[in-house]
Amino acid sequence: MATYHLLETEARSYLQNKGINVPPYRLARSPVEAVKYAGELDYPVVLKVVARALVHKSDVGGVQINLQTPDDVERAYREIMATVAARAPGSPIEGVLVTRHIADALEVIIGTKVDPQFGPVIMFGLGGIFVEVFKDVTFGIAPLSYREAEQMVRNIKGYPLIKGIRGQSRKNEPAIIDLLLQVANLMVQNRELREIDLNPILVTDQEALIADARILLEA
Amino acid sequence: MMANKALAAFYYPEGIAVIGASRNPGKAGYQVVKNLTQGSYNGPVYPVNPAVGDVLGHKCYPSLGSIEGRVSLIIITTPADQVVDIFREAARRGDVRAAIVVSAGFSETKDPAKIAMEKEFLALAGQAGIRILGPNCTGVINTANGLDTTIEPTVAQTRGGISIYSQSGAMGGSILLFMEDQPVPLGFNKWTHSGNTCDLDVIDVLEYYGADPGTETILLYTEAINKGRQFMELARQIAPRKTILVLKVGRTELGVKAAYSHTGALAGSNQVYEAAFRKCGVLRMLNLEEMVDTAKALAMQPLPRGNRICILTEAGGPGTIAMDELGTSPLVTLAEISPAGQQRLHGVVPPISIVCQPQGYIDITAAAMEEHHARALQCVLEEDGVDGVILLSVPPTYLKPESLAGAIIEAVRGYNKPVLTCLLAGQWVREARRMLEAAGLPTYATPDRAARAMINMVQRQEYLRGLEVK
Repeated sequence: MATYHLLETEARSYLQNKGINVPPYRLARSPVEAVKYAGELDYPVVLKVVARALVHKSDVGGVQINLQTPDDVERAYREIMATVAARAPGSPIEGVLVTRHIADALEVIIGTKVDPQFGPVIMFGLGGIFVEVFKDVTFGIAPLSYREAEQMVRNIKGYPLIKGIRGQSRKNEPAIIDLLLQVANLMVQNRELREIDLNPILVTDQEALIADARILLEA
Repeated sequence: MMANKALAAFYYPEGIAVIGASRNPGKAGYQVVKNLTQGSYNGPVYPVNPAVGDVLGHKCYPSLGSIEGRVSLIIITTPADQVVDIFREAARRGDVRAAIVVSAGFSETKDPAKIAMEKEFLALAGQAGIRILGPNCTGVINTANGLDTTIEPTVAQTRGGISIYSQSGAMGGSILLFMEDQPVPLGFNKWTHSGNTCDLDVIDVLEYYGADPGTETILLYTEAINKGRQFMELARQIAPRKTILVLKVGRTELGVKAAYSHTGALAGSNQVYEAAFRKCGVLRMLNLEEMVDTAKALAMQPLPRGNRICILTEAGGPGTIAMDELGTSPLVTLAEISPAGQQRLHGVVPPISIVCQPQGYIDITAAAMEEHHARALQCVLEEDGVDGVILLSVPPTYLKPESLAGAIIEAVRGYNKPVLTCLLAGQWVREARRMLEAAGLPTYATPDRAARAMINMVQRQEYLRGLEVK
């Protein structure tokens, strides 16, 4: 079965078309465009390379975060282009995605796959080392009931980080649960979807924002 | 419902032919005839073997075709290369509905020629309307009519409401031996082993058990569930009426590898299985002990009405072990004993007792005699804040276990709350445990096993309560 990854811009618009909220973003094709969009979206911003062959963008130096000024953006754009060209020569580059940088957010992840025995399954966890080192994740079988989605969030060991500890704000848990429900439904309703990887999702006390989206489709 | 009708021909056959019947006690063909004819089963059994006149005194037929009586079930114990021809002959008869293929040497060998042979007889059976358990399979036991097609070690056919399915014959047999080995043998209803599952599998058997009036609790041992969504849908329909306990191996990478080499099963992601079982109301068991312990609790005691469990112990160590185990479950909380209840407790237990420190935990100490156990037990069972009780005791030399058991049996009469007991230990308490179980009070070898069974009862109760809320 042949599969292919969507570009991040395509993945974002796929999700948007299915009614899932994605934070504003623009695709810049020059440093000038990047600076223009950064101004429109408001600083600080993040720049990310968009290229079909580069699924793991940060591994090839394709991501720069927390850019505060137009100068930062222009420099970051050129650096990304140069580094990607050096580390992944020959990869056609569509441009650079510009989006807002969210500070002081908790990183969570939502992943899905199609299990050979049980069909669409969905995973939730905290991002970064929590998933990589501690494997602190929970699984559910799509579609999810509200209670199941809630249990997936509450059953991770790192749940106190969502509830808020040591003076940290309480994160918007219902927004995470809603996103889990939406993504689980998406998997059930769209059989061409093989995998969705929302990593990270930035959760603040206000909202849960998809900061990166990878989608694998059946050709 | 097709599978249900097909499986009935296995559990309630009208005439059984054993092909490959043998006079050699070292052969499956001998053991199968022995199990079928020397137990309580009294339907017609026809040994088939052209080379001998009789097996165990029963007339032997030269061929399947030569049996005049009706044959609805055939049991094949011949070498693998004869199996295809036997299915041709069975198809010609027209009355055969079910086949147990004991013979091994097919798809489990992963040899293409042998896999092809299995496909060939499966196709023949399909055309003739014959359903198959196996190959590489020992078949079924039905305590309702004494039927036992297996080569498993014989167990007492104590009747009960538990039915068992196992992908592994050895594990299926061991579950029965374990159940028989309880202080009072734990009865069962039906038992099924499916071997290579070329035709009927866990889903078919689960469907049959789900509809079977004699089955109250279903135990499954499986290494993989291939049609996961179908399994979940079926389990979701059955779980509100019958408890399903599953021992699904492959919790670790090593277990996954072993399962693959055993049956070629792709054990799949453990966490996905966990999520799937939770979603359809199936209780996952860690091991054989937990499975039988939990089945025993469910068979003998009512479910707790809630999750508040009281530990009543005569010794601190065992009490602590039980508490430790209860603490592993996020569902269970300790019981709430009212101030008045605590007063009453103080009045009936030895003065050095520790009452409700912490709340819901009572240590009546080694000073406790029969009446202390009995009256404390009644006190806590009276409490509205107590949904279930774990009673632990290590009878010292001055407290006769049998006399203690008698007092406990009297004390629990009339209360509709689960009481799980653990008397420690060994030969000293053997007769007392037998007495308790004969009176319907399950006993456990260790405090943590009693606590684990209670956790599973609470989990079952919470699942049923969740259904009402929806």
